[in-house]
Amino acid sequence: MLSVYKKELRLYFVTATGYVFLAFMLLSAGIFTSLINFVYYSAAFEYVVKDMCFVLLIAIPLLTMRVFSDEKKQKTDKLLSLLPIDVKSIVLGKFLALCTITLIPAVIMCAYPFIISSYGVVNLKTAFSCIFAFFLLECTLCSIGMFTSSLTENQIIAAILCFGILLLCYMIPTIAENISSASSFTFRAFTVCAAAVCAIVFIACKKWLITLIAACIMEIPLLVIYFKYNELLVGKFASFSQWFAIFGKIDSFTNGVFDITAIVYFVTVTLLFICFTIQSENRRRWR
Amino acid sequence: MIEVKNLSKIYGTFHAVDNLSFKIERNCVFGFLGPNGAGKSTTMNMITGCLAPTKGEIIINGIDMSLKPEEAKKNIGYLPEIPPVYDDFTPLEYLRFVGSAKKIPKKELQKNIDYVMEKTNITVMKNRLIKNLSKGYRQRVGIAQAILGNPPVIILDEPTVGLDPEQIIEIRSLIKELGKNHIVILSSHILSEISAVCNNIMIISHGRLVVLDTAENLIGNEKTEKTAELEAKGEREKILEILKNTDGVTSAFWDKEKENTYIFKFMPQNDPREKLFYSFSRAQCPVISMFIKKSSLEEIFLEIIQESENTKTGGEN
Repeated sequence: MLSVYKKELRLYFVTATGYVFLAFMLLSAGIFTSLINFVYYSAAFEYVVKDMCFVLLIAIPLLTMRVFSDEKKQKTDKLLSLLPIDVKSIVLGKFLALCTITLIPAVIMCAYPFIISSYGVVNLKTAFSCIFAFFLLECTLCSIGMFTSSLTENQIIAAILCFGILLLCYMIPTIAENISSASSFTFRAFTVCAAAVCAIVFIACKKWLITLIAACIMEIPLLVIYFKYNELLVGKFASFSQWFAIFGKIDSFTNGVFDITAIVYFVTVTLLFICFTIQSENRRRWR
Repeated sequence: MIEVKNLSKIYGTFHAVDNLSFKIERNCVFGFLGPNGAGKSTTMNMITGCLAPTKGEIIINGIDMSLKPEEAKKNIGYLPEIPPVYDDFTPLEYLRFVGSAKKIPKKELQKNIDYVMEKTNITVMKNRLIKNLSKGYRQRVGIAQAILGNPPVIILDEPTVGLDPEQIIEIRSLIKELGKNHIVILSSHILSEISAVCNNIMIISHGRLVVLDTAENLIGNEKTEKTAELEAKGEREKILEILKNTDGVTSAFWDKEKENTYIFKFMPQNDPREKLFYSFSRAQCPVISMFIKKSSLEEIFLEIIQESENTKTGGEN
């Protein structure tokens, strides 16, 4: 794992990727800090962090798009397969290198609250907990980007796919506020989601029976609830969609709460996407 | 030692590799031949652990690839068809990464890198970015990667592609040298290269093993038809008549490029050369020379592949 980690980290800095990412992040942080803290005279650094989340929509796909797809394009994925390293170590090595890159701007950003504090009263605990949550958010998004990169050998497709997922996650709170809470809508929306899951299951295993079983497991309870306990479904799709609002989890930190549930959420989603990436890479070897 | 038992790779209904079994015990250079799409690269990818087989076992130095892939891979060095090199690294950085991934102890790593760079003649290029190297040098960096750490089994897929004639000779002698202390499997489309370097030859067709034999046996196989060249003086019709009427001669014709030269074919178990000598003597047609033309590997390869094609077509019908 260590050899892959070192190699990845080195690749970020022998190519422009690492420098471009750092420059982009620090420039954005600088602009937001100047605007919010110096132009509008606010002593709250957490607003800078909250606004920085938007920058991640572009920065993370750019950083992660090459992780696996470039290896496939350059045929160096074969080297990784033939070396005595298991897929888990390769994925973890690459993920840790991504975390290290994202850690650098987060660490540099830690100096900003101190600079601002010389001009006013800054709540350092809130500022640092926000930066910490921001770093965890970056890691979670990197795991999603790494997964999309493992799906294709085209870097652009990987980046667009990652951007699409992140944009959807970013917009979910706004969408959830405006969707109907009626049980009939909830039923239809869950049925569409179940159909999408079934499609993914079929693409993954190409077996009708398993797809049918998956459809039954999801749809039968839904039908029972819809016809027997209709009121249980009211407003449930909106609350269900909030599960995917990754960016929204940072809000409690900006409000001055050190939210353990959000940390557990970030760690869980990150681990889930690392597992997906390992599966995706393993599956490629079996093809 | 490499042991492959009932190895198969099936894509949908297509059998890329079909029940392939072989065993290589002693150190030597193995030529791996087969027409395009015969399953050579698939087999090599499976042996090296890059691709999972549909069924079958691969045992490298007593370690089962499916049970302990990391342990088994430590015993293999592999150069795929396209050298898997990082363009943004220098050869030195690249070999350091490969060495540490192969878990070569830090103390020995530099010594190992120096050795393989010297053997593949890339020392002068060690600090240049790989993307700025020529195709030949990239290939050599790929070979250096494969032999780094001195693995007992080395698999090379077309290692001399893109090299200049001098480099080809160097790499061939390196492969020969490696064959003394390692099992080297060499896949190449250049048959003269295989016959120059390999002691053993393995031919596969349609994913199946067709021949696994020593080069000597294969070229001088008792079952294959021999071709002989005869130079004799006398009337052409008379000489051809003697040739065609002698027991054992399967076919005979005049070599149009030379005046008194004739080509005839026979099976080794029914050698007609002695009878021919006396027949020509009786007919007063002096024989100037008569010798067996050694079959080239190309001829044998084509013959074996044709035979396997016929068997397959026959089987399907």
